[in-house]
Amino acid sequence: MKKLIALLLALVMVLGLAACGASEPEAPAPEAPKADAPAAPEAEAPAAPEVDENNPLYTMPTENVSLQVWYAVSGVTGEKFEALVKEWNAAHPNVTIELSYAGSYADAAEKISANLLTNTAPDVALISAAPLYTGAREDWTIETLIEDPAFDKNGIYEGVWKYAQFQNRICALPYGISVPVLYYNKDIIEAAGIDLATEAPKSWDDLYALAERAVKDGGATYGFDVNDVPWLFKSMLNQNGNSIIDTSSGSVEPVYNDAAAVEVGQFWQKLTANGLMPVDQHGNADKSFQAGQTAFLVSSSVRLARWAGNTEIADFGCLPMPSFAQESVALGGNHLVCFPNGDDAKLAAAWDLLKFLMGEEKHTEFAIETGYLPIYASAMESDYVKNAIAEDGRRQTVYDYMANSWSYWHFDEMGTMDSILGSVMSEIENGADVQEALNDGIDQLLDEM
Amino acid sequence: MAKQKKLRKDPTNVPGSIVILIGSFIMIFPFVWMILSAFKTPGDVYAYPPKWLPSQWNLDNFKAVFDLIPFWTYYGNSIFTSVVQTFLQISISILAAYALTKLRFPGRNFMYKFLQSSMFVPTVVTIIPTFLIISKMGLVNTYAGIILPQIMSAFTTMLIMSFFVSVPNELLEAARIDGCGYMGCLFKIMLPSSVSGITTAALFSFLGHWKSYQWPLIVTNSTKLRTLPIGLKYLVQESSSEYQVMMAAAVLTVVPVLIVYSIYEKQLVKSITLTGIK
Repeated sequence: MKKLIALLLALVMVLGLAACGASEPEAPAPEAPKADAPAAPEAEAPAAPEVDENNPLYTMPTENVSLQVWYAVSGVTGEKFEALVKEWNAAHPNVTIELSYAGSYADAAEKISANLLTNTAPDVALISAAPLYTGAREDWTIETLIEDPAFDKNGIYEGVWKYAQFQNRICALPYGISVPVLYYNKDIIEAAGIDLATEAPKSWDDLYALAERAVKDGGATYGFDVNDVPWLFKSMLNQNGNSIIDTSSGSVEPVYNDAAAVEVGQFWQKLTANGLMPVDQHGNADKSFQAGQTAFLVSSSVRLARWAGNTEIADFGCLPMPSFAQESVALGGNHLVCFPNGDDAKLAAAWDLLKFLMGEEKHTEFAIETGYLPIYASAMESDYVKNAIAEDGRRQTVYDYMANSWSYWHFDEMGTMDSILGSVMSEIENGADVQEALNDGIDQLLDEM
Repeated sequence: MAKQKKLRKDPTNVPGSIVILIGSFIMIFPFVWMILSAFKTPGDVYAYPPKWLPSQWNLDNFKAVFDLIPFWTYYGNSIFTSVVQTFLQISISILAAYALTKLRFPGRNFMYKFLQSSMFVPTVVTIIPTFLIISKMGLVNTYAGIILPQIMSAFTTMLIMSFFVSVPNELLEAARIDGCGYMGCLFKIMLPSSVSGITTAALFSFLGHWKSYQWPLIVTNSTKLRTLPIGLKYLVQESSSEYQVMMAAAVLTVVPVLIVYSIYEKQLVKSITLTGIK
């Protein structure tokens, strides 16, 4: 009887697998790009699509249209995004908009994946890692739309566009853009007798020395901490000449285990080994800093707007990011995308909304109020930004980070890679051999790919 | 049992009392912290060393919850979906448990093992296939879409089975001889004999549905259909969360759970004692 049951179960499994293989989704599935799939070499940008100034998608439709807009941001950012969408909607009464909060970035990813399978994806979405839901599915709609003469594509920092690419092609709109920023606790620095006007850390070794003094003389529990370990580690790798992934062969190959990476890992290990940075406790980094326990913190640039003016947390300042061989910070944040479903009127309305949200004035307004960074180089000269900087000089320091911002293309396993890097850094903090830990990290990622 | 009585009556059992006190503190501490934090200012929340009591007691955080999210809508949806899901889930579980424990039919053992094995499949694996089915049925963004996929549960079925098994077969046979049908046996003998077990299963079911987040988020797009856990998540900002507001929302959220628990506390404790569920 047991053998019969086992046989039946095996049969059910085989039939189930066969059925899965035979099924044809109605909409293109979010297919994982193959690691060895041909991709345009990084140095060579693909030819821009032919510009058709009369493309009907560039004109706002006059008929009645309904749009579904999902967003994976909450709090101040969610409220501002909602307000901007409603502002556009007020000027376009022929459009009915259903705004829907889609949960965290991870939740939204799952929701969008499920909806793409059933051809029920929203018309517009504000999500992270959007190229994985457009370019990775061979959906290059945005690449065509940004050729709209009414859209100032060239005004946006080139490095920021990189953050919206898949296989070297633009397939999303960079929206809420942030970078890791170095914050410091003013009271601790003063107590340690550090004069940042003359002693601002240029290199990571400089920062190490200041962190030591902050603990010894400033009463800090920790000299340095970081909120998002993989984010800073990737910035440091790039500063030291390691590109994290190599795309020159046309496929994505992880390379974060060379001598430059080992040097960064060893510096990281020195911080924890000498008690300047907590081991494996980075989830509390922001809170410890706010409570006045940590002298230097690397956290998202978004924190500046959120913490500024809050007199109930420790007084803080911002500094340029220290570096190894070259200055560099890795970009992070979210994207705007549209998902075409065959209805051109909807797509044209969605593009009009995206143009409104991505316009220099509205985007800068969004950035100033939410703490994300302005992405138009010319926005830095606008009265809006100048006034914001006049109100809070720390903004200038943070906005200057954009000059050294950097990104690599999105690829399917980039989230997995961050997770692996987090584990690798945890091992390094706990005393593992740096080279071995990084090699293991490469092997793990290759297995996943 | 004898040991428990000894522990309760023996005031000199200091080590035992200390262990119980520490355990109680660990269990109660987060709850007390949540309530106190709901009244704190942001400064109190981030203070180091931590402040136990709010510097000033006020209801601002509770007001903020209602300002930030449509709390009553979410509350109503959570109560409606949780109650309906619990009712349907327990009804189905009772019928399944009755069939698997007291009825003889071909393939019963296979069905039991199949049911048991379904508990080893993580929910995350089934979310997208379930969504595809619900989408084909046209139930996306409906109450039915939230409710239907969550009303079949191997856990509550097996929990109720463990109570049904203890009802003597002789009693059922006697009832059958006296003319009682299958459903009569279920309603007149099985259910009255297993009230505590069914209550416990209902409580677990209600708690599971009350805190359900992932599925309602995926299957709904409209704010009018959203439930409380999604509202709570909205309060978690991508940085610098307002913990005091989140704690106020959490306090409001656990109130129905506490009400349900206080009503069924005795039944729950009784069934835990009988089955050893933890």
